[in-house]
Amino acid sequence: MEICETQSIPMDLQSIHTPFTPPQYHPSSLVAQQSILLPPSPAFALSPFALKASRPRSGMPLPHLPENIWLDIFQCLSLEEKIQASRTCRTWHRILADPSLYTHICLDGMEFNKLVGAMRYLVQVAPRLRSLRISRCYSTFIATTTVPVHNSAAAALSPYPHFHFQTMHSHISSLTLSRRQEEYQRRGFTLHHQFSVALSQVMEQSQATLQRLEVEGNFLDLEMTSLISSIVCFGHHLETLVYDQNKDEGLVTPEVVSAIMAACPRIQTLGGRHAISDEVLGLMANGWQELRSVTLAPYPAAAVTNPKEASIDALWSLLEKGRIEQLELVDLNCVSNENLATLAERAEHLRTQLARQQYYHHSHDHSRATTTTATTATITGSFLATALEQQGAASAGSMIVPGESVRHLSISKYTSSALTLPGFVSLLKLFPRLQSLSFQTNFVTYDLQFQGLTHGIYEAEIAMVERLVRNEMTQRWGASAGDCWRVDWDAPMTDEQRLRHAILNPVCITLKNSCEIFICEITRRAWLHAEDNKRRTLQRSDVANAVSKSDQFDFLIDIVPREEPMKTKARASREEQPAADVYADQYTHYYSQGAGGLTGYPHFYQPVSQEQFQQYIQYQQAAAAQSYQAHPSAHQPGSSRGGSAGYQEAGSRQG
Amino acid sequence: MPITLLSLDDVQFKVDKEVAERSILIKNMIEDVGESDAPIPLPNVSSSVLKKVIEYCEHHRNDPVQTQDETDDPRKRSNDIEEWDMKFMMVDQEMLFEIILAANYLDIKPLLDVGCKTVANIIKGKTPEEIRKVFNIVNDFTPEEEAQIKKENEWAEDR
Repeated sequence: MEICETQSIPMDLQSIHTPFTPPQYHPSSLVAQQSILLPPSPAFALSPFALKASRPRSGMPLPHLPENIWLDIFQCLSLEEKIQASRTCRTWHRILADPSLYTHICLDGMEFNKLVGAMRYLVQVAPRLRSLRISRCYSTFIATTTVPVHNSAAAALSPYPHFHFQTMHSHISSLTLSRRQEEYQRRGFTLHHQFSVALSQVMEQSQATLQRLEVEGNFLDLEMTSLISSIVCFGHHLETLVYDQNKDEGLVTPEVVSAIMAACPRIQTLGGRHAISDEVLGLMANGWQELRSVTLAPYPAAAVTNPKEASIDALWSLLEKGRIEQLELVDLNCVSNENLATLAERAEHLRTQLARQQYYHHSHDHSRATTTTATTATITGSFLATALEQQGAASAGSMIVPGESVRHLSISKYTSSALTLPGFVSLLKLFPRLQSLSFQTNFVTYDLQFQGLTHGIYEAEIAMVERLVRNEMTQRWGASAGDCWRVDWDAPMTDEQRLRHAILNPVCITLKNSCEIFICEITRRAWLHAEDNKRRTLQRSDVANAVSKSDQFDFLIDIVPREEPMKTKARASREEQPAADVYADQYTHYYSQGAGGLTGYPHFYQPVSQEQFQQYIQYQQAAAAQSYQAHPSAHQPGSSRGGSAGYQEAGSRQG
Repeated sequence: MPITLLSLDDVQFKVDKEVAERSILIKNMIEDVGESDAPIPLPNVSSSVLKKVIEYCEHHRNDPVQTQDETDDPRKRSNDIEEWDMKFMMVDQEMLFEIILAANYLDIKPLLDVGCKTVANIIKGKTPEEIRKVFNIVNDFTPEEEAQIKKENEWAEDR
């Protein structure tokens, strides 16, 4: 196979190299001089410097550096650059086949085809991968493919089975899983399968070494691949697993989490902003003994499957495990002033209990201590009882109060309940060993919650919180507190925030109401037309007609489609009847003047109201004939309607 | 106390102990031998290169010593070079490789790193043909081999 051939190159290297011309670049004449100055005594040869100072043989068609230095140099190159370099000559090709160059791989910003190629290449060169990162990869196919969707429900309900529904298109990524599978298959898109094969090969080879897997910001429809089963099969040594923003809901269904948990017992960091439900969080807290870092996020607004995000009790039970060092809470509703105060109180209680217990533990005998704790526990509540019982079973002195394990905390607040000064007070109480706290929010967060909030009040609140946190951090960590508190009070608005803000905005409310009135009005008018035609369903023509009939909808002239077939028919009939044409022009003339400022759209009135127009003409002719008969000598324009004089004249002329 | 270094071509350099000990090789030597006035022979380094290396060590005399595990993970290693180092490395190719060799021999890890990064930056973004030209490398693949390697790496071609 190909692999064997490339690896056999080093063996015939020496024979190959001899016939080549010596390189133009020589590292001066060091090699020769060295041998004169320092004859290779056994002592020197054994010293560590001797190995490092060894020079490559002269005659190599390369700049003369020892191979270990070339390895260091190639280490700085990306995967693609390594491939380019390996194509320059045999020596580089051989050096670049060293597996130590392919331990930390980052595949960034690749098209799906290229990604699969890279994965296949890794199968060949990287048998001992330690970290793999796939980020910002995309598929042009998935990004550009739309699929016609048949709206069968609407067709079934329609009273006109022969009516041709205009085919609608939907983006392939918005279909359901099984439909997507079907579409990919039908379009012969097999990259998902190829990727799955390559990935499982790569992970299988490196299953003993792979510690870190990051899959971030990809648009590849990874649900279609066997990524999860590869993790489950070969991820036994994984310590860090990041799966974030891949345009799906992530790895957080209870089934997936428990499968990964069983397969990867060493996970320390689970990255990615996933909505984690209480159930899953409980699983994670109990299953992963090494879990140190976790991120909790709310469900996106669009998700309807399981809109219950993590509750404060689940968070508490996670903290109770006493292992979490790094915690990120993304816009969670449960992180509110009240809840934090409750938790801080609980922790405070527990701390005093523990102190008392320890006191008894030290001064009295053990049995008495446990009875005392037992009685106090029943008084203070069940959670304390359970906690202290567990503690009694373990060792009394070493228990960590929930929250004490957390060193790094990151909170963001956008649409969930805002945190104010009391919230921060309890936050600092709850997490007494915090080394860094980062916080992101903006004015809108507070504006959504507190009515009548001004920027002045907001600034004042910021100042107070800043003072509190800085004082606290300085007390804890001394002068280096500056790095502990990273805050952004003016974070950019999120999409959901924009939406919510807009809903509450009075201008938007007015706009919304006027839209409703408008839709109501135009529907009513269209309905009148439909009733005229003895129908009970609205059709497009009804709306078009309603628009054409009333001056106030003139602004829709170009937007609402007219009935094209009718137009052509009308034109044909007009050609047959030149007499009517005259009237048509005049009719147009009448309207363009009567409506005022409509001269730009004279064509609009012709086709839409052709029937009415003819009716109108007949009426006018009849009226004119009557008036002619009544006053044959002086046919004055008797009508009070301004501008209709032209018609009467025309009618009389014809008459 | 200044230390005397003796280059390949018998040129003596007097440097502070602190500066000389940027080189782990010299540091170990001093520890082994004990302080003495005798010049330390560096039989692998010519005077012009040694001068350059000493210039680097003078500038970086107060840098914290790098720990081994920090450099283990290439993701933690930044690929960008400090401005002073960049200027320092603006030398012809021969000198560049000499400095790298000297850094390797004298065991000055930060200097070796900077050197490697500089060479890597030269390689970056170049086609195999351009790399050959820059480093004066002879293409010793047979046309068949070249075609095959090209075929194997076809996926990396379209950018």
